[in-house]
Amino acid sequence: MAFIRLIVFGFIGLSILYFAVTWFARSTRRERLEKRWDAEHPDGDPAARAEVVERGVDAFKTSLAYRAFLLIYIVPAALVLANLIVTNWN
Amino acid sequence: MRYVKTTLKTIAFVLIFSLLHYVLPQHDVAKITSTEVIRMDFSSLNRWFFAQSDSGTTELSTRDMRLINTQRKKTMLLGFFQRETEGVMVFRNEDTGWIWPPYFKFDSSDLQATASANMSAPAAEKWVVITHYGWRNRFFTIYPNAIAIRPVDGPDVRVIPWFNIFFFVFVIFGYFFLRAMWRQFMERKVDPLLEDAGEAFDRVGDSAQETRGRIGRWLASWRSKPRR
Repeated sequence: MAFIRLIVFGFIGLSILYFAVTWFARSTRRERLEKRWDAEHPDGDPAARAEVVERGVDAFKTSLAYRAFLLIYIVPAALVLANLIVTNWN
Repeated sequence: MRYVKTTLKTIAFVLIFSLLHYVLPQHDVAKITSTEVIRMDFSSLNRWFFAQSDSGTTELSTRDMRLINTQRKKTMLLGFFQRETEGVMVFRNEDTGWIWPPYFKFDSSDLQATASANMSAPAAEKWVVITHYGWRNRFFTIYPNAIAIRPVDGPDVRVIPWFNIFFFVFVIFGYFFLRAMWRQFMERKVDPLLEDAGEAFDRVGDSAQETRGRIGRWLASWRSKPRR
């Protein structure tokens, strides 16, 4: 029972962290794309700017670096497992 | 107002410090003098400071508890400096299981056997390093919980608290990461909303020159400061 509780609350907590971190990553990426566009096209078309930025963010979302954020779930689980083994290994 | 703020900050600091001091692992250099089992009848006062019955068993209001009696080297300043004097210390030995604090300890019985195997005698002193968390308090009858016992050659060992080092590095890293995340959130999500609202408000009050100034100043206090 306690194990299930740990799983459930751990999953909720890590999900909050996952969404916060991925939002942060997307947001900083978007900002960087916007700034780069602004630097390259000082008086560019806003529609083109929006499209380029949107495409850049979408590309980022399918990148390996973005998928690596799933480590937010994997690393704590692995740490718990390692801790479990180290503490109880005889 | 300043006093209230200072008081609240002090209380928060004391609470967080106490929590960490209770939960984070500490190391004692000790001689195990005996082990025993006593029956514990918890009160609402000290129940907080105990774990629960062994992970495979059921929870009753009263149960037996393993204790490890030791003679340990006294320390000072959060255990960083060892003193020459010795004192007694009694550890409890309970499963933390899947519950708080997250030590995931299920091997209380094995640990008790380890304690028995490393018993010290007056003629043949045996020293061990006991990893534990928690406090000893005579008035509440609470004991620190032993997590691990490691035999060492003598009392002069230097234990490096690797876990605590990594923990605090992680906390500092996490603080700056959260702060950056918060700033990004304010800059990208909250500020644009406030700006829109502020402009609408300013349009409405064409005679309210003074109000506009005040709103503007209030908004400025919300905007993120320019990064250095």
